[in-house]
Amino acid sequence: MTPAKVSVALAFTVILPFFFAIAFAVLAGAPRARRPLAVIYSVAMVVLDVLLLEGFLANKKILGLGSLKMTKYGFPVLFFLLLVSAAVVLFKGARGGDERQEGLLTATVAAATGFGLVAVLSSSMIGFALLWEGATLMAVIGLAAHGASGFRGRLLSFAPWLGADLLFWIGVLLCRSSLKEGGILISQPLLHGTETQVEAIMILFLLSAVLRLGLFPLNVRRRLLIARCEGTWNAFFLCGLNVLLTGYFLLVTVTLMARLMTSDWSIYIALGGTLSVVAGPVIAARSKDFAGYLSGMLVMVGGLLVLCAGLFSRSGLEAFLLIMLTAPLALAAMALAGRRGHARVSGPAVVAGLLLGGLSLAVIPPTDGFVSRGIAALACLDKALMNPWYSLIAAFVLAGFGIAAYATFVAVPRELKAEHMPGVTREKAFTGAIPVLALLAFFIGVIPGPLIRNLIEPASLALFKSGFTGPGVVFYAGSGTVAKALAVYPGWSQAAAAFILACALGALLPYLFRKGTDKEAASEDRAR
Amino acid sequence: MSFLGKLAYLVLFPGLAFALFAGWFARAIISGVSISMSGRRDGPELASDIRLFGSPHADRPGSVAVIDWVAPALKLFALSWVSCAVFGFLPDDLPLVFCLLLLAASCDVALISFSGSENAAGEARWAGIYILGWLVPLAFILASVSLRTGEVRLSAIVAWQAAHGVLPLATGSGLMKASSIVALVAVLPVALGMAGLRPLGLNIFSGEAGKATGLTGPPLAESRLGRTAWAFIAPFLVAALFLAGPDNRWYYFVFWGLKVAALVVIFAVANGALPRLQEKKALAWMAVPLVLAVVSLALAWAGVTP
Repeated sequence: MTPAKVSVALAFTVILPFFFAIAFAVLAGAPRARRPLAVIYSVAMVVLDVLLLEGFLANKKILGLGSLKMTKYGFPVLFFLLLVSAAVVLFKGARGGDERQEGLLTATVAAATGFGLVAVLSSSMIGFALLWEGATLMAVIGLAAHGASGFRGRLLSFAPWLGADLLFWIGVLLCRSSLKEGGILISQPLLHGTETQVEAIMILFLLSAVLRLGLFPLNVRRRLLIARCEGTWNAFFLCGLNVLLTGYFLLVTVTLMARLMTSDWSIYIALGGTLSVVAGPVIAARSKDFAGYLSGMLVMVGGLLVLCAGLFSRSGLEAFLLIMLTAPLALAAMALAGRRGHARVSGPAVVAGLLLGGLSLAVIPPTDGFVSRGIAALACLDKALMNPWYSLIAAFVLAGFGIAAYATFVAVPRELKAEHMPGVTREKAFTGAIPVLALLAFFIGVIPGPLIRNLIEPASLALFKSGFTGPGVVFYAGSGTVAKALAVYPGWSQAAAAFILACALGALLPYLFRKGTDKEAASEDRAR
Repeated sequence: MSFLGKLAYLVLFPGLAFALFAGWFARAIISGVSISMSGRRDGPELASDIRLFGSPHADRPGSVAVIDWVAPALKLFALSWVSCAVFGFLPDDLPLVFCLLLLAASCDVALISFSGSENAAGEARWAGIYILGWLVPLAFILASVSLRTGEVRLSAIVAWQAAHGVLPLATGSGLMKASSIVALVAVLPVALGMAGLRPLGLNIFSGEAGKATGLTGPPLAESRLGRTAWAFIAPFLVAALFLAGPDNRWYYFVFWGLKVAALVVIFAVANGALPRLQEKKALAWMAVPLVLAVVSLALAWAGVTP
């Protein structure tokens, strides 16, 4: 694709979500129009996504449209945001219920996608902040679209998010007034501002990201928010947009910290993240409902992002990017498949989504959940060679994986059995989007090479060149021993595929050649 | 061709076939010691387990019935991968090995969770906590070993020991040696828990507890084969992490075999001499390896800090 064609595709990608948002809002009362519209939106977004990917890979220089730039670290976020948006709209568009509310909620998803896309393409801090607020506004309208009853409670549960935005805005304005810098990534040397001002801005940015990701113990009311909102709102705004946009902003923040600060806060950031990596699964394991489980898993994902960001190492940065990009897929699949109140969608597609998404969140090989989190654990062991603190962090991270698996294997069966509980009603919906998201997450785990080689490594190198050393932070390039272990993952698809094939044969052969399912004989056997 | 090779490693050597064969030997030793010490018969049950493939299985209704068939196979091949990882035939970094063990153990929790039993949720919760009882100390032990050796791959740790001697006696400061010895002491109850042996292990596929899964026929057969594989993998992993010596000559396989057999005998004696602890007591005892593992990590930390 030529740069001109990429620019045209980018223009369509930026405009279409807003166009569709208006269409969804206007045609809300006509389900016959809304359903085809949802299908057209999803197909259009996926096609544009693929075209942009082709253009991104074919051209080495940074492409864009005016001031919107497809940077190496911004494009991967755009790519996955479009995928999640397409899946959620496809699911939502075909769902029954109160037509006006359903249409409005779908419209907010489309519009927030537009704001999110432009935000990650924006090269100015103020532009990013304004577009970030556009997405927040859509999230609030989405909360209102649930109906008047309970809106106050939902808004109250959403308050930490608004608080995070306030901190972010104070930081942006301070950055503008005291450092006199307007770009999203500020370069050295700083011509204005003092070290204290830089530290204050970084603290505000970091706190904003941590609050928005809902790290422990700042995850107050997160479970309530999930329980009170639609699966689609949770899937897109909480699991998709929030993880991707806040992750992107966290990436920008740690890059600024490395470039501008004269002190190294690496270990404190990593310890803060580790607390959530352990506390998240514990919250999930102790919860008695699916909302609590999802809330705990979100805390864990947020913790992992902060931990990996705090490592200031090549492997840590790559783990960060992998988690930020792939975790929304499994999380969104689980949020869509999960029960809300006494209503849920059902069927084999939901079962597949819950099982595959659960395997990914439980850090089970060879899912994407394992690959990204396994690299995160390796990154901690890598950094431990420099500072033994990180070996303790690595141990806690591995223990967190164990607790996450336990929480998942308790929560998912409970969710599947809830289908048969009295009072639980089945909702009709096109559930195909759920297994598609979960399968995508699964296949990224089996074949992570293309993602790592084409998106993760270029993004990592664009932010921190090899041998980068800031005023306070020395970016750790990694040891040879860990490099050997990490080198396996881009090409581990053969081992992963052999494992899956062996397991499939191990399950299928006894099933195909099983003796007749004589229930009496089986009961006797069981009694024996 | 490379793909077929990896499949062959997983299915034949050093994967499933090897792990089952070695596991059968391990169970034979455990059974012999158990009978001579307490008159209890703990196996080997390979023949009866295989016969179960021919018995009928009552399929449960609904999509979740797939768990009955998939989970035992996942468990078997996860353990096979661990066996391949020790030999360096498949990817073998420590987080991967940890997560493969996690997968193998989680399959049991999944089978109980999805069983038709009325108290499935409670039983699954217990089984899960029990598994965490040995998984969490293992996380600290692996971190300690990695810090001590500076390696993150299992085959590299084996190679490191080939150059420096078995881990507890390898070259290094006194603190480092103490760290490895404490980690070795901690890993023994962890391995007992993994293998499902007395006094700490949970055995959910035979006797009264076997009913927890509600499995019959081929899935039960595969699950029991998984237990046989655990009987070998647990001591094998301990040997690889702590007792691997020079491994560059073919006859060192014999030494490896003897080390694993010695560990199996130690486990068999514990299994034969001690009664199975009640769930809560066993869990309380699991705090001991956890404390030892943390101490081991602290000692390794002190050892590497200049």
